[in-house]
Amino acid sequence: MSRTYSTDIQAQLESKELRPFWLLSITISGTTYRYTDCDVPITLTNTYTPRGFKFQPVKYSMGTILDKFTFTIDNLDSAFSGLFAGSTPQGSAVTLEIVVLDSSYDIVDGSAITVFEGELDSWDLTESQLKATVTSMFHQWSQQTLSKHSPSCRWKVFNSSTLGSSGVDCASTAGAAWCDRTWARCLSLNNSTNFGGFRFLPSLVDKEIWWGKESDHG
Amino acid sequence: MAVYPNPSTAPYSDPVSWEMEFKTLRSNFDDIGVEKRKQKWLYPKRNISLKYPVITKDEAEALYEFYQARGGSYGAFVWFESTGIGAYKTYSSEYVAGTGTTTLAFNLPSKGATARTINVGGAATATSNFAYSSGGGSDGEDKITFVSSSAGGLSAPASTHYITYDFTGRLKIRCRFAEDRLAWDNFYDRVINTGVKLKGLLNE
Repeated sequence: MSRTYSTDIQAQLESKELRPFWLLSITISGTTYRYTDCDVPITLTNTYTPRGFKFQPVKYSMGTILDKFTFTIDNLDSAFSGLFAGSTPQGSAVTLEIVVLDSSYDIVDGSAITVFEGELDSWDLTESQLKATVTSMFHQWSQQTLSKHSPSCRWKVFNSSTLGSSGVDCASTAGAAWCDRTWARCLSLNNSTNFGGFRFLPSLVDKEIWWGKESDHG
Repeated sequence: MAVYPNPSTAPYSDPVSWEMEFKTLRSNFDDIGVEKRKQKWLYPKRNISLKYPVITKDEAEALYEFYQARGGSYGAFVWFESTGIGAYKTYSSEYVAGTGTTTLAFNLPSKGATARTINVGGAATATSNFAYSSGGGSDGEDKITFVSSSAGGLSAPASTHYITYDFTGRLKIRCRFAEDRLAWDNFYDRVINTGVKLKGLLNE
């Protein structure tokens, strides 16, 4: 899908003397950190503070589903050391945008152009800089599921500490001593809402399935 | 922030040697004779070289002690142009503050300014919008305090606009020493003959 720039931004970008600046946003644990490579702050809705950063080519390809870009940002003040080394920032939202300033240093069209949106993947931290790779959110399409689809329930018996299909794995409050992971037992414990199996699978294993109203072989 | 200790009896060479530094990216594909340029810094930085042809040894030692107290190139300090020598100069569009701040008081990049115009978003703002304090800044520079919006003034003038300043006076330059390693005899030689290099930073 193509992208449309406003005519004002297009005109500025096509001029021989231009002032585009990059905006980098990183959202970690609900807090968004905003930086620009301009020597003074830039304010859209929020303010982007000056911090040195550069990035390798933003990669888009028809041949791969995994678009990505890698950026290196100044960490001499150790601003990222605690954020990254002390937590798990993988999956944090990262956005790279560009704004164009006019001769009065006002933002043309009052808006930024998004160049890349993705999630933080791998990162390397040194005393003076942070290098991180951001992958497109479409990377989730290429993930392999580790779940096994069995007809019997796959939740840990009477465990309600982790999230499952309806908020908890097995939310049984019957106080029963045992469970054999069958649909019948789950019904008897009045907990079928949280049944973690695919109970119709056995009936489908050998069943011939066709699209349409009638089978040609019927 | 520390202020550079100009020797009282030994003025630096006038005119002072300084360079204006900008940062521009130029197109790599200029074979066809058409060049594009991208501005990376909105405001210039000024690098200075201070030379004192008639300085005494004691005064040079005082400068060397200042260099030591700054930790070489580590500590930033303020240097005021034309301190004690020369006539005031006129400057325009000097950076005062960037966007995104809601404070009303700003240190100005001047000292003892006479003619002065404050620009908000590139347009001169009326003098009734701010109070001026000569030498009232934290390092002895001039200072302005905007009238609050509740008192009929502007509403957080730097929240979305840059503030710049036109004036006639002494220019304030925030800077640091350019080098980390300077032996005393080398420093002394530079003070007298080639100049001590100061690296200009953006004013705050």
